[in-house]
Amino acid sequence: MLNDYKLRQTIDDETRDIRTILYAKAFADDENLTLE
Amino acid sequence: MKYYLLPFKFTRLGDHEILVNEVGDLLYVPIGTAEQIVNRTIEDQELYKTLVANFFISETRIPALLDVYAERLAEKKRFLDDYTALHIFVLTLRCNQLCVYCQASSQDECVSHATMSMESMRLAVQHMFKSRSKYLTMEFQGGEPSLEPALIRYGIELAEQINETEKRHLTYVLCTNSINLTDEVLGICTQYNVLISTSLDGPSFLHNTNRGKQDSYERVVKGIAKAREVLGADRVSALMTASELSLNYPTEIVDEYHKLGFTSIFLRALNPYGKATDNADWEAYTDRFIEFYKQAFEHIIELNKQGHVMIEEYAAIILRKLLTPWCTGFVDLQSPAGIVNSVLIYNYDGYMYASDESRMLAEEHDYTFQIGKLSEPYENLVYSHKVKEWAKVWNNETIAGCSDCALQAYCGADPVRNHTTQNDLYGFRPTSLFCKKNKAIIEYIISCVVDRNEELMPIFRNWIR
Repeated sequence: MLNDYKLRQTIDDETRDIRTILYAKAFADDENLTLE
Repeated sequence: MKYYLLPFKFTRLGDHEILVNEVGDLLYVPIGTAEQIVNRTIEDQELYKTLVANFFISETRIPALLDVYAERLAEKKRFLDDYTALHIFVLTLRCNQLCVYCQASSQDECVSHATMSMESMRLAVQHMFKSRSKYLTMEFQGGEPSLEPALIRYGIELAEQINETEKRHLTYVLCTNSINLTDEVLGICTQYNVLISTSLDGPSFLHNTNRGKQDSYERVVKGIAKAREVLGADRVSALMTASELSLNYPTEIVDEYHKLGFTSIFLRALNPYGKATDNADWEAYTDRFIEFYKQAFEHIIELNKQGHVMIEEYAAIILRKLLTPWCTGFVDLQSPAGIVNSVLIYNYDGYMYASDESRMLAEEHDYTFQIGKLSEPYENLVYSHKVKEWAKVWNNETIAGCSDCALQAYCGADPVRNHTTQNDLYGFRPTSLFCKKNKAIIEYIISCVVDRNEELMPIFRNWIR
């Protein structure tokens, strides 16, 4: 069983890239962003 | 089960968990759901489909509708597109009341050194038009701004003149205690469609005690009636501030607003500025305010059930964040924070400040949030090194204690409050009373939505129209 801290850390680790792309698409001028 | 996580946050609420995605969509689920999602052990197929549909998980590495999701996120931050929309002009510290909780360090109306010069007003209006916002609100505050009708007229007429070429949507608001609404002041309000925002703390005994005057209530009520008669009822709104004494009278305060024909009330806590800092125990005050809020809120719900229109404005702001795709224009619950991004202050002393609270701090000789002289170019002020430093701490998406909070999408960052109460712009959430109060109220409103949905949603829908 994972405690809340570990759960949050896992979500953060696994979603860092997609979150960056989401924010870039929402707020950056250049939308041509993809995962490597 | 193969899927990809998308960013979301979670917390316990009663005997359930709430999951909140990046745009504030909320799911109310059994405890343990967040762990099931992370461990890929979701058994409930309906839950699985709901999680996919609401951008909590994705079956592909990049969700097919990522562009739609990004557009929704941009919409939630749309207030940034136009930059500063609210421009507060602090005309004077002179005042005709002696409020026990005065946060603005107001002074006697006879003093002569605490009023804005015409030159400062000219510079301030010019700065206001440097903001690229299509919608500009020019709000007059004090002290008591109605003591300076010539300054109000000059400011509005200058704005109107500049706007002949600028073509912005201008709104004027006079924040007044309504004690001194002379024919001259109301004449300006009529001519330029000025809205009146007045303050009323509740029944006579409470209002007069808070204001330090025997006849304040009677004069305010008379002033409100006069303003409504001249300008129309819809041009006059009122705000209350909950002093320590007020916390004993939640239902009486709501009933007073109802009796006077107001259809909304903003249950507003004291802020730790000016005379209000004399409050001995802010922790106890915050706890009592939260209980006061819930009692007043339930009384407002009862009024609505009886068929009366009465909106609690703070709850309505939270509900809009929770239930609609739009952002709100409320500067106290924004990320990036309202300071500079959404509000600028032009103070009577000839300086620009970051927020209303910032100029209140200056009266206590704390000039941390003084941006600079009005005589300096606009760009040197709002793009200054000082403002750039604040930008490092004005997003709750990036500061510890907020970045992983499930309520982040409904709350805001407040470096000014952090500095004032914790002597640290960054702030420390576990002991922050701003955090404690907002969390308690936001959780309470969420619990109303999820636990009492059938009972309350018809009322809430009216509030957020």
